[in-house]
Amino acid sequence: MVRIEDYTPIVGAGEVESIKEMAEHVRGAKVEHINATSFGGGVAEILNRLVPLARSVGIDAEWKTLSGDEDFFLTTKRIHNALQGDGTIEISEGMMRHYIDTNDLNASKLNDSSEVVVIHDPQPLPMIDHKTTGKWVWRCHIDTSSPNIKVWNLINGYVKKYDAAIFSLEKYVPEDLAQMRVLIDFPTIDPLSAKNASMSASEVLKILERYGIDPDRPIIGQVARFDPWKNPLGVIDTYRRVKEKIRNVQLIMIGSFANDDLEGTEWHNRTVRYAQGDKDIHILTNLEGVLDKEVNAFQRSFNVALQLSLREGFGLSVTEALWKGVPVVGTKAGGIPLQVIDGVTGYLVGSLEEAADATRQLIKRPWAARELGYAGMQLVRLNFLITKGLKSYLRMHIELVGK
Amino acid sequence: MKICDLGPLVSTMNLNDPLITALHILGNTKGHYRVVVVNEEGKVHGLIIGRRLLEILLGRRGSSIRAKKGFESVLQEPVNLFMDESYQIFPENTDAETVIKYMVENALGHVILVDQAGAYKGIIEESCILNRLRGKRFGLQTRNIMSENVRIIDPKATIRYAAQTMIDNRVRRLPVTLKSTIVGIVTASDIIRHIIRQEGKTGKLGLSDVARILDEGVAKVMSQNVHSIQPDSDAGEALDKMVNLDVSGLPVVSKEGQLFGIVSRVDFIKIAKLKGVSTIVEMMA
Repeated sequence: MVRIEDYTPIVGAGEVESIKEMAEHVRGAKVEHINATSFGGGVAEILNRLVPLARSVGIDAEWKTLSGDEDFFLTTKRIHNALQGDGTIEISEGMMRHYIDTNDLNASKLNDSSEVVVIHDPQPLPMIDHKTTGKWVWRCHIDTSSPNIKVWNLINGYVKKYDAAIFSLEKYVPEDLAQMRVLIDFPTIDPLSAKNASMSASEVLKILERYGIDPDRPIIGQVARFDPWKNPLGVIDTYRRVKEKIRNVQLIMIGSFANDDLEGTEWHNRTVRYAQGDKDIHILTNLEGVLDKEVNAFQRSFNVALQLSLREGFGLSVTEALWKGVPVVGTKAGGIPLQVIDGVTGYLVGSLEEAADATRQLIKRPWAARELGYAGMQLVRLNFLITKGLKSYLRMHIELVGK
Repeated sequence: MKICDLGPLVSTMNLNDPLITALHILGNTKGHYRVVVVNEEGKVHGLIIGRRLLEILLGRRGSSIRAKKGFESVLQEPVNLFMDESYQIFPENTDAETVIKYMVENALGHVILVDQAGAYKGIIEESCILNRLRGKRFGLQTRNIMSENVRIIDPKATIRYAAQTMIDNRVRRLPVTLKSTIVGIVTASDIIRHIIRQEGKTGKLGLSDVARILDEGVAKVMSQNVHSIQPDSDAGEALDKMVNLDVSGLPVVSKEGQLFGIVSRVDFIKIAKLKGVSTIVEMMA
């Protein structure tokens, strides 16, 4: 079981003490988190670590997930894509009706005695209509800086019914929420989780061998859902450009099939087809047994991590790679530029050609990659570890139900 | 050039200090908008800004504790409960170009510097960078870097309304206009300073005192001696004027007195985007 004291060697005793003191102001608070899936994607990952950690400091936190049929999750994925800026998407009355009805059916899961209810992302957003007690918070994890206005207008009425809204970055806060209590909370990673904990070289080697990856040749990779916003085909194009000059390079693409992401299968298949059977492209998912420990090993094996997203909430995969001392070549989407400092922790690129150039350079100059990787690890240590996330989380509760 | 060559040590407070200490620091120190919060070992824990304090004074933050213990208790609670985490912390030996690049890329007004042990060493704010750019000209007009969407208020508006407008629009200054003519400018710091002065007179700051102050007219706290800049002046002149007058922003006004926009210290970022970060760093050397 996770304990806040376990983080002392990483963040220091002072930080741990300050967290414990803050937690006293909300000790015993009953908190309910609701999101769409217990597995796959950044939100499930955050909750998977944050909820037990919150419990360890005295918050009575629990986590529930929505149930819904295929049509529901297809609609919510459309809403997700529209909020991230796809202006072509329309949500029909029927879709909207089904979205609301499914939330109504899930309302029986709500606990009447919760003091704080945290609803994550658009899928369970309409549950606010079942609020009877407590303070309700909508936590938006996606990039809503330029949403499809028609779709945003369909759901923003729900958002305004909440007691507070939380966004990952200030620039994601829609203008029409000005009157609301809006909090900003950067996502963070857990250095003690199976995905980020230290690992011996022999363990990494074993996992690489198990998946037929040659540890003696350069490895580049992207960890992301199979999703158009993550640009998986662009990743393969970049790899091909790198391979023109570095013939023995290998590419690992790791994703997972989340329950709420029905597009995932389609984009996974499309990515596999696009790879055209190249034996140096390894497309791996949870279905092949790639879970947190395996992701950890693969990320540690990367010479360069890629994050070529077209849209990105924050980009926790970037944080994870940097924490492991791996430089990242990334686009300027979402929270990536907060982590990838051009020429310092990796390279920020504006095209696939630039991505390939930067990747080649880092493979050919391991001494430079090492420097960038070290700087990246420092940046994460100072800014993006879960203890900071926990403090923001506690402050939110102090704000709503503190005593 | 190492970045810590640039940064002044702005005020700090301990995370267990009462919130009112932050009001005192910001109310009594001209030109400061942020206070860095550290622990006993000097390690950075976060920061508190003027707008957050306005939110607390207006009851839009800290509302749960306020409801349970009263307003005066909120001011005596540790600042740690109300501050923001800082996610922009860099090692002190980071070079200037890196930090400025980061600020420009992410449109940030500050970066905090720490030593190996995480202890506070300084903060790089817009003002440090502007100081280094004093006297420089960029071949860019002020209109190219100003914000056009300016929130204005009427001189008859209350201080409460001004504070609410700042909070809702995430700005820290508002031009005060009468029949399209600027008659003043009010900042978050002006409001905090005014409240702290009242506390100094009576020796206490209760809810009724704050309510009374917030219901006063904004004319009472605004600066009437408004300095402005013309839209076609070089952006460097605007930066110089802000440094020389020690103000955080200037209304951009035509010769005929028409308000075009507002330029603030953080708009150096737009200059850097247009001219290139390396060029700006060279100019600062």
